[in-house]
Amino acid sequence: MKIGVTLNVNGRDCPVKVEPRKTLADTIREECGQTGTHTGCEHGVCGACTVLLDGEPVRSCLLFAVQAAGRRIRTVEGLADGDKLHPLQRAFIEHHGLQCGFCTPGFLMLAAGMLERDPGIGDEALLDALSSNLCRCTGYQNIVKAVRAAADEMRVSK
Amino acid sequence: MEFDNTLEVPLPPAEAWRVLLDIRRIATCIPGAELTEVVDERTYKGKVAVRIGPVALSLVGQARLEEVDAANQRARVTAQGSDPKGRGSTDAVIEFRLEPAGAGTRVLIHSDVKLAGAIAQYGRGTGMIRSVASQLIGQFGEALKAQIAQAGAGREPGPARPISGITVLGKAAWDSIARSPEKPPSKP
Amino acid sequence: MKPAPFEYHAPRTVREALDVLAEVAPRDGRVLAGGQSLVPAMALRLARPAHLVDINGVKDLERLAVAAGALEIGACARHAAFHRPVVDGPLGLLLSEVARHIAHYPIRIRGTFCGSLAHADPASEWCLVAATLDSRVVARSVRGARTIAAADFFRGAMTTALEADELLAETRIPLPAPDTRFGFSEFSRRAGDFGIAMALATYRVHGGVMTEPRIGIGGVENAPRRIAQAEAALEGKRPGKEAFLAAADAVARAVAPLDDARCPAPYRREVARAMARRALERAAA
Repeated sequence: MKIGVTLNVNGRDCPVKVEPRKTLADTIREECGQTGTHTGCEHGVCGACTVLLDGEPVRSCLLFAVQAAGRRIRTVEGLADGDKLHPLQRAFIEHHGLQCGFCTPGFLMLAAGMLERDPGIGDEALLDALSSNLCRCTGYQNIVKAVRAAADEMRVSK
Repeated sequence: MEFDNTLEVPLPPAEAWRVLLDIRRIATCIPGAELTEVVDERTYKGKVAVRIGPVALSLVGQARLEEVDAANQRARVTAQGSDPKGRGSTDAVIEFRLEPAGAGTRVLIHSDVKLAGAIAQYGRGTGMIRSVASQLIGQFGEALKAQIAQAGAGREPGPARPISGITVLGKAAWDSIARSPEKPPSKP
Repeated sequence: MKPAPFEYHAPRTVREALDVLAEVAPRDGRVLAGGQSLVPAMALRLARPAHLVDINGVKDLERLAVAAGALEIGACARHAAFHRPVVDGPLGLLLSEVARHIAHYPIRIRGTFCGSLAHADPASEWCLVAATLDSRVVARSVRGARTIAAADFFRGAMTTALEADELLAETRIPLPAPDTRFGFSEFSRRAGDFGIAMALATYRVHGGVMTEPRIGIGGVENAPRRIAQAEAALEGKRPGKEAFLAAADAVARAVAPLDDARCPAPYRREVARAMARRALERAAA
């Protein structure tokens, strides 16, 4: 039995009608057409599905869409400001923080959540936070470099 | 995985031996168990309901008394069960032997359990599964003791109510269930 | 895999939640709080509750307050709420230190303290805290409320004293004396993994020797518990290497470690020993 709920994704309202068991990740992708959020393990381990919920990174495969009514959801599609890339996006390009790109939206949103709250985040805390997500391609070093570079830029401009 | 458990039965070895081989009676002591078919005097089909936290499993299968050595009071049971929802299966060989312990009997149980499928992964390895199995055996022992005590008082054992949650039932808890037949069966 | 279908309930008040739970619990209904343990099990279809009672909308359950000498933690208080000390004194700092070890940041944003207790995973950090600090759990149902001591609450792996229709509404942790020292140590192979062994140690110092020692071990057995023999080895002794090693030895001898292919019992025993020693050393630092 489907339930009607309005999701607010990247500032836009997206009314959907879904079964309660449909996860936020699947709903964002299939009902709201925002396929930037990826489903990797679908059971909360890999972090590829990470989105920002009221500014905090969460695993959207562990939330049901019906739970997210009235919350501000931000996905990778909401990072850039029109054509202007977010510092994190630029940093990932400059520092080769991606290869296949599958984990990338998850890492971007995780990092965005951490840095937008505290661009002065220390190295250890940053590493700890980034260890939340899995990447099969890069070996993580360039991801860390990219996020660190973006943090430095965001700290200066704040 | 292999593991050992002991059970104390408040009956002398000869009687304990008879009780333990009375499969119909044993089934009433296994939490959430139901005997569905007696294939022959050694082979029984049934199901067992088991719960680990939010995971409720039904294992449907067969148990067979492979070896019965009345002289030495040892027996071997093989059991296979699988989850009808396809989440896995189990294959177990359980050997038990009796030895006198004071006025009663000590049952030494050696289990060799193989798990396959999703249920094998859930417990983060065999450690948790092994402890769940031990809990089950402990609960079985308590239920058996309570039943023997009831039978001693002249009451017939009833069917085991499927119990949700693997808890070691103290005799008091068991009694309270036995006293309230109207209690709705909890979901296994 | 996608979760199996279920009926969804979103009560607005505690009363409503208890009523719904009473109705659906006998039909395989469960509480949904943080969902960080339940939803993965549902995604793998290991758990298939027919009903979910989502308590995230019940404002009264977000309570986090000090009353009658105890910290009262409501069912919807998230792990992340404890990142910064929620109360002055050693308890706030202790909870903040432990919280950092729970899973990963995004999981801590949603997961709840009380949910962790209700789930009773052997490697739960909060379960260890509750057991070591003699916390009490308030279980509520349409039949009323009852308070359960931590020692009676944890019955085994993923098994607690909660009835199917009971909501773990609140956990109460008695505030330790302001001069209480504490130390926590957990070992896992990778950040965020379930801990192989963890220890929480607290004690006070009076006249140069330790008093009121507590040492709890988690992740090693089916459920966390205080190790009396280790506490006896600390009582009345000077805090330092000798007493700490003796207590760690006592822990190693007392525990019956979980055993599996990835972490055999003998290794786990040694890790438990090390965690006990490190927790004590951190308490003394």
